[in-house]
Amino acid sequence: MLDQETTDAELTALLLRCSGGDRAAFDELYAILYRDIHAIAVRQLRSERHLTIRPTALVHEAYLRLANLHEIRWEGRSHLLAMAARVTRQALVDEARRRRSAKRDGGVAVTLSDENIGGTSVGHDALDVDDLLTELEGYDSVAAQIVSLRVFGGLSIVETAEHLEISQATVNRRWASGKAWLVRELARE
Amino acid sequence: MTEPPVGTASENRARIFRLFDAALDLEGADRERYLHAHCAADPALFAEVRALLAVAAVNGEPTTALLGQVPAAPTKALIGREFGRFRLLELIGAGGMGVVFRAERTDGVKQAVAIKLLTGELASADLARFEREAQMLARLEHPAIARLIDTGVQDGRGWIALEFIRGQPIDTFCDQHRLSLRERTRLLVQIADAVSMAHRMLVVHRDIKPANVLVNADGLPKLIDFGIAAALTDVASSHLPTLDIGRSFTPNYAAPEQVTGEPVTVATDVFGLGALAYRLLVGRVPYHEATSAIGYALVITRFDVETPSRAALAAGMEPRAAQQLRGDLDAILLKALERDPARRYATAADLRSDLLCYLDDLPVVARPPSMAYRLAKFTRRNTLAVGLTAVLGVALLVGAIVYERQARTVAEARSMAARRGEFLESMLKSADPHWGNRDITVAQLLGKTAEQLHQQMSQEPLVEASMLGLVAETYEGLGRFDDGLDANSRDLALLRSHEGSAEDLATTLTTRGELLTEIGRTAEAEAPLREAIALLRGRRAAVKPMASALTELGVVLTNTAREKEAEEVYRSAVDLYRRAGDPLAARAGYPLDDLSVLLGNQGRYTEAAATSHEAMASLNKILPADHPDLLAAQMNYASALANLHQTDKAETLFLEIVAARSRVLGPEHKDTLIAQYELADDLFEQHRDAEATAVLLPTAESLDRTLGPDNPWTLAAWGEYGNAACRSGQGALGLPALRRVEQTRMKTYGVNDWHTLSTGVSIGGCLVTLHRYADAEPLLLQKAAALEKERGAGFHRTQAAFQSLADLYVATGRDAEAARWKSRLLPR
Repeated sequence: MLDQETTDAELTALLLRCSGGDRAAFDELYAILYRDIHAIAVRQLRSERHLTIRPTALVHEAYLRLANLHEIRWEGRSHLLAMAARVTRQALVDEARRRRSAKRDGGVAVTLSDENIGGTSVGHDALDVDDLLTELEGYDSVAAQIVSLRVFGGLSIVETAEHLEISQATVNRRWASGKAWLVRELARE
Repeated sequence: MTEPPVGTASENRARIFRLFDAALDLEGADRERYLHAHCAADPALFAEVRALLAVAAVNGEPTTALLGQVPAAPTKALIGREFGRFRLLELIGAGGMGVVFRAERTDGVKQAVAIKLLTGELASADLARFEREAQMLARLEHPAIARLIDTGVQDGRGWIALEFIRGQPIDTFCDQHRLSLRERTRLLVQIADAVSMAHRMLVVHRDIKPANVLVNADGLPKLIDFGIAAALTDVASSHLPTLDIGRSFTPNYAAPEQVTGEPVTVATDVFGLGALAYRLLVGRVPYHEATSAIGYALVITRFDVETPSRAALAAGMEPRAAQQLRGDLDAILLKALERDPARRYATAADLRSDLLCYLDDLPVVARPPSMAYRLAKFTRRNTLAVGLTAVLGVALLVGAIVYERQARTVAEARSMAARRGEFLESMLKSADPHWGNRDITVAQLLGKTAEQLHQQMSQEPLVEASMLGLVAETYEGLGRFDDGLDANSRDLALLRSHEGSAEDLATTLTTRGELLTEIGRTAEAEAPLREAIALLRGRRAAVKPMASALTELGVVLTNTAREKEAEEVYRSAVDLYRRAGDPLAARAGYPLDDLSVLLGNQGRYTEAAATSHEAMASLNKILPADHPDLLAAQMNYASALANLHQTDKAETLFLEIVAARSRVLGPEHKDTLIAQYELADDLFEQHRDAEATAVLLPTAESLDRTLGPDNPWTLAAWGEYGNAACRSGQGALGLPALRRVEQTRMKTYGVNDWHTLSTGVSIGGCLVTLHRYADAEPLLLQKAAALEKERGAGFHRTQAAFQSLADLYVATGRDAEAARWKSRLLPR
């Protein structure tokens, strides 16, 4: 996990570099987050209680591991969250592919939830969700980004707007379209 | 028909999205015109776009509801429908768990009611659980809690009817009425009182926030949604088709442990009360305001709560007003909002009492952090599965076990303590989550300690022995007696081979006696205890070790049916303590407590009640509230009351004890389970058989796991379960349980021991409830005679046999015999 591979001091330095806009630091942090989130996902899938994964819960857990890193600049949080959203999506998709090729049927099921409302629902195949979001990207890249950030990273409307540097009204509007489309497509199965 | 080319399908999908997206910006007739203009020629396209618009139209609904099937019965269609004796009038709210309606009574009685409907259908097992939880909630009666009026299940959906409160959320109320700091504090006291009452009933709210506290026209605060969150979460999460680690919590008010998914305890509500108080007194939430759950997780892990007086100033409060927060209120709020639950107020009642102290200008409780807190923090990780009411967690204070070892000189004592401290510190560090070992429990920690002690301390055998003594006692406290015995054996061997002091040796021997007794090896316990007593005889200074050894010997004698000798031994321990004067005199409570158990076993209930009352009063002087030993004395007092048929008084006490033990020791600790057993026994005495059965089954199962199937307590719980099940018409379940208990008791106690005979009486009674009179009659006659011979006619189990015989003859119409047995029953 995170704390074993990378010391707190190294991580802190990395986060500071990220908040200073250092591109290489972002890549490095991405790799670390990926390793961590992927490991949490695999562990959850291994324990039979978690047949389904809630992506935002993964992000929570990954973040709690960074809990003692006080130095991170607060303004950078939406970017860090956005990165976690990307990482989570990638890690889940990778794991689903791996499982599918290993013929453990089912791949990875993910539960999508709107963190602002809470609650849970039926699970959906991580690969389906990913494919659909990629398709949506072709029609409306802003809507696709918003859905991905909110579903995989649990970003609020405010945080999403901050990260994408667009107005909250735009986020709300594009989110309505993107969400409705994804929901409809997933219900088709 | 041929498949359309891929490109066409893809283009088609893109077109659907664009049409939908454009139509979404239009409303009413404009939208219709737009759709007709663009899709009229293609019915399939038209249908797709319409479907998307329909999904988007319910945008206010949780996404999650949309991701499932669109609800079969849309919520609006439910208006006018009847649930139980209520009719739904108007939708007033919706959340992740369900929807809320305002409703009225259908029987003409004027009563405004709020009905919560669970989303989704429940499986039958969940229904039972839902109803059980609802029953618990129905018992919450407090002027500041919205009453639960009724619950039920209709078409597979659970519903709950609650008192409908017309009022404003407390934050709006306080701001609009410009309440003063003291007025706000007074409201908070009332809420804390309600929460504390609920905790005594084993219900935790989990979601205390301004929106859940309404103030009515009379200015009275009412907590709504009490325990509903818990009841609903548990039910909802178990019925969902997919499993989810679902942590749902309210940003800005949830406690850190809710965010990290650690067990929710009464301390969670203490935090909730603290957060509510912060909002009302400071004017903003304790942390940076977060707009999402993940944002809250971030702030709560990265930042500390700002000191209220400073935060108020920064938020623009007048300096003079902010000044009022300084000192007491700062301290109270920060203590309630401690990140670590163990460092908060232990109970809502403590928080309330500090708020009252503030109002009365009395000093408030302030405790500096200490090592004990750190220990408690790790002990918490030892929490086992959530028990009876699915709410309470563990905080066993290992630090409360102050281990005193006799050292030859003061300097030696200091260096010993320092070394022990260092070693413990290093062990604790290894368990610190920040160091990577997130899941370590205290038990694992102790195991590791015992393992590494030898490697690190082998040059200093007496320090090692002293540590082993601590390990053994801690294991004892955790109820892991076998592990404790291992450590104790090593401790003893070291002391013997390195000439430890007589006091040390005696103390270790006494611990050994205790451990052996706890695991039921009573016969072996006597020798070490007698050796300890011999070692200490004639040493004036050794009052405490001597009296402890005597007390434990009394327990052994009691358990081996030498009750007369036991009573003498207990009384000599009492004398020893009392002659030593204060502060030791108060420790007489310990032998007095054990003596009361002995008296109770002999049916001397009045004496038992008096003695246990005396024990409680003594221990109260030296132990903090909630101390396990004090709780033990309280429980014996409660049992004595129950035996004197003061069941109401006893029930209240038992409930308090179960709550306190769950909190202090954990829900699966032996003592918690025993208190649960006693509570159930009391319910059984009151003929509340269904409730007793519901408590006893999980209790007996847990005892099976923790103490083993042959343990006397386990047998007692299964026996009582059998009784309660039989009496509540579930003889088919009860009878086999009773037969198993009888078999085991025959092996351990023998055929004519009163425990075994007593089970025989239960079996006979159960057969009566099953109308198997021919089997029951000879059995009951024989057991009644044997018990009367062994324990006398007045003994409560003998009386139970008489009662069952009387019941049998009444049922079979043999009135003369029935009258004969009835005449032998003593008046209650």
